[in-house]
Amino acid sequence: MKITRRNFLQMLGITGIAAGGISQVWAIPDQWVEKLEYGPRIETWKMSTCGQCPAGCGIRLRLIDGIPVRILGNPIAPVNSGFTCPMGEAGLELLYHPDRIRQPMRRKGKKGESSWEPISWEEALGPISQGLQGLLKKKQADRFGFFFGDRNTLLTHFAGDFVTRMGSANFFPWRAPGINELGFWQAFGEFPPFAFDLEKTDYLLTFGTNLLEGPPSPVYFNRLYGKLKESRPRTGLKMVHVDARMSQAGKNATEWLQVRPGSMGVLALGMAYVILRDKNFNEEFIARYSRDFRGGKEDFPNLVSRYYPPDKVSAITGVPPETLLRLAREFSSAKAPLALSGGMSDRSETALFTQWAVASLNALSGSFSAKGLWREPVPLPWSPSPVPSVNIRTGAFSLKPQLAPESDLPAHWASEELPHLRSAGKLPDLNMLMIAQVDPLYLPTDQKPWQEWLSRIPQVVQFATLIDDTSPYADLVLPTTTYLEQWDMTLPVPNLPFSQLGLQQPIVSPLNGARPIGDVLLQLATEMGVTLLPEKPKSYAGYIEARMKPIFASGKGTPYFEAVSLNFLGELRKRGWQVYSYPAFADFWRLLQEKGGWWDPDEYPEAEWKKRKKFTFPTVARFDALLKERALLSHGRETQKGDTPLHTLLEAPIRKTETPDSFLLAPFITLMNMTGEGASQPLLQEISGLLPRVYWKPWAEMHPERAKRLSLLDGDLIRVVSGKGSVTLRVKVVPTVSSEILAVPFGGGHKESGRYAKNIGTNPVALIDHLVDPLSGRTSWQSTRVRVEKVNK
Amino acid sequence: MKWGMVIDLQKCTGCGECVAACKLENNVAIVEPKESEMGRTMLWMDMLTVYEGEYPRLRVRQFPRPCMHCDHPPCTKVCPVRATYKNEEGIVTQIYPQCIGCRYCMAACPYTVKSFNWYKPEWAPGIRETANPDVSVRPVGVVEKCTFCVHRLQKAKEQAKSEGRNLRDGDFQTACAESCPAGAIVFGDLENTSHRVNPLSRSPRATRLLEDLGTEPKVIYLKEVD
Repeated sequence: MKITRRNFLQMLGITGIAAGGISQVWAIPDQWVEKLEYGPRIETWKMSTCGQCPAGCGIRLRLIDGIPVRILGNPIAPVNSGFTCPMGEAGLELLYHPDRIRQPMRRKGKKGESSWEPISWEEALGPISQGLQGLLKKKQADRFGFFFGDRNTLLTHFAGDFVTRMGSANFFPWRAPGINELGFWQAFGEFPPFAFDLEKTDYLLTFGTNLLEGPPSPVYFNRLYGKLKESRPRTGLKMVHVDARMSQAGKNATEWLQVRPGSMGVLALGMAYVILRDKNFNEEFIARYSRDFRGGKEDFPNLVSRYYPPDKVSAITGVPPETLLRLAREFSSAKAPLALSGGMSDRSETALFTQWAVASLNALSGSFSAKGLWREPVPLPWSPSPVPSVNIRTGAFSLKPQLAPESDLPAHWASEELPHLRSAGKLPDLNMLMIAQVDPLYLPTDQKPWQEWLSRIPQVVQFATLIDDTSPYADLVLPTTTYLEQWDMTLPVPNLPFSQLGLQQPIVSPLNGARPIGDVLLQLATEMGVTLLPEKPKSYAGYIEARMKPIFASGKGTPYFEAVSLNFLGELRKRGWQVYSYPAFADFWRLLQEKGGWWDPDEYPEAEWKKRKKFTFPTVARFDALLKERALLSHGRETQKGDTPLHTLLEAPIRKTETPDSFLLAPFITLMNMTGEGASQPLLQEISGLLPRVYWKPWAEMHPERAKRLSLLDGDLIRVVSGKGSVTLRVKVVPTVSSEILAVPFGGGHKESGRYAKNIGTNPVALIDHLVDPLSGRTSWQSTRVRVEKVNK
Repeated sequence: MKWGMVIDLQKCTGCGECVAACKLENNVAIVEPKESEMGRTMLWMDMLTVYEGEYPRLRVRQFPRPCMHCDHPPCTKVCPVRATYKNEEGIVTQIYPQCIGCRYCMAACPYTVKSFNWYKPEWAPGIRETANPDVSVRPVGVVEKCTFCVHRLQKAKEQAKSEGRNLRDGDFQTACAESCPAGAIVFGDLENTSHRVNPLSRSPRATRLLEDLGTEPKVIYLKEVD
């Protein structure tokens, strides 16, 4: 090696990092290379909003000579108050990823083969625009569809609007439902669900809800948990986590209750039994704001007393009757009890059953009457955006002003079921499908029907930053920008008790010829002669700006502000003052960019039950009617058998483990990887197994007793076999799982997604049987039985 | 002046943000899967887990573990070339160009906080540019560990000097303390009564790891009470 001054200094380890090795870099523009070597090293900071998950955390980027070198939290962003999660910190690894696509790519071989030829943007957009024009001319606009990963930003509304204005109804959003979403839609006809204020509860019961490791906002809830944990020795707050695996939510609770996967709803109804028998329920709420509580033979108490007495509940759930009794009494005697269901509980065949049962538990206890506990989201001063929905009977997707409780489900519940809806003849044959911000060939449990469906569509256009598992089934891959190179606006986070809009702004101009999705759609619409907005914005940034005008005009809220207490702000406002002065919209817009977003410091008002629809309790007759009505979602599964009440058939899959080597597979998500989004980033891949101390590799968590019986030691290799396939994993013997399950992390085993994800780890989806909750359309992750064999090294 | 850290386990949720922040702040190499298989993963800040009791009385304690910056550090005593030493402000530092890679210090450290650079750290093209320009990368063959983000101390001192004042509480923060969402990590001068760490370190809940060894760690844990 030639010794230059720089090499020499580097060997001594005293130079800055930016020196050396830059010439090989192609992930950053050439003009940066010189700056990195010889620049004046001027430090600047820019505000934006994180786009790694839908939580909308404010971020602050450190730039040296205009080049981003670090992401930290924005201290004045209300949702995260200056903190981030590991995913948020690692964002630059996404921006600078060496495998980012540099120009549009056209598939060369057959579908399913990953071979590509690079083409120009004009060559790529030409056929798309022709294809769309052809459909419009033939009046076949419904043969165009858009499958869109909803990151809770304005882009989702924009893309939905694009599809609608093309004349199609086939907008398929994809995201995890919010906390309580399934149950509250069924019981209240309320969507999105009510927000809640954790600080107001004195008894928190989480049914599979892991607020610390996944959506809606892990940073917000980690911060809050820190506060609640510190004060709970004084306040006496009790936190009980119900799940088959302890997870971070269980580790930070005061009690962890093991329960068989899928049986959480049964446990909730078992608690309802005790509360009803003790006559310790909230009579006022029930009499005024609910129905089906007293309806003769087919009412809620009848359902509970007939089918969910403690001994039966104990046999199904594995929870001892005395624990059930204690839990029910503690919960119903608390002043402000709060039961949450979400996360793992909506990844089972009993997802909606569980959430409805948990909602009923809240209705029975004093939860809905507790002061300030439940909050009603205040709509922003915008004309309401259409809600993507799916009709339960016809299977048709559409965008509606609002969902109809009798006939609609939110579209994202059933979007994993698209190929099945197609084969059942419920969706039209598509000529063109666009896919963005989601990897449908990585996530669903039934990859074959997805492959077949995508192979049959003549023009599949994917927007992507990296070639991912879906790309081989796309005909065109368009390089898109990361959240650090584009404009967008994150919407208020569901379930949080305040309103916030986080501004995403380009920290750097798009690298490698990538283009923002919004601008590409806008260009296509212009070519098509379709106007997306009355304001006719020239760019997607213009659209965001236009959407902020009504907010400015309403005079509500303020750009994020620093160092002013809410009390002081209240006093200011009484006197007609603002923290900032922004007489014109241009000032407001400048402040938004400077501070990183807008929020309304007035928390959401308390939920007012008299204004809402009445709370509907579950009954036998209602379950029967729902199962018949939603037969489309049950995949031909038997939902009627002699005189067995239909809802009990839902419980049938919850069985006890029979043989010594048989386990129920229970995939879980980690904060570092969520559902595979973190896998492309090396830092997150390395530390995703931080807690079990396993790096870069997947593992399987097993209870010590079961491991002993199978003569397995910590670190041994096991083969996990299901009816669908087998994978080899390293066993981790931990007491934090129930003895009936084998817990496996989700997020590894990508076939593509760049060099740090490709063929690293395993995807538990390869083992999971495709089973669907017949009431909601959610696919189950926790219904597959696996066998474990020891592998000799 | 005696820099130290208090970690309140009653607040810590074990999210791992301190680990990520530390790795990015200090350009700690991401060790590739093959090397990691040999136990070469580098974490200046680690997260330890202890299981107590059995279900239904099972409690899981998680605690972040940086370098303890002992007042009587066993590692400095065994270094044959004085590549690791305790400076006048109590920080146990490493001088990379002086280290000969004998790894005696690694063997001597009872908290296993030190890592050895088995190979030249390599970043994929581009990823390297995400690194922090304030901290040098370490060459192959030397030992490294948590420095209490000492590079930030230099900056904080210069800033205070330019403003003609002494260092205040919060002027010098480590990356882990700054990034902890739960507010569990507090950093400051243990001897200065105006710093938050001072009263916290004298809390009845205060405890130190492996105290009986007489190493006198300057990382103090506040025990969980429930």
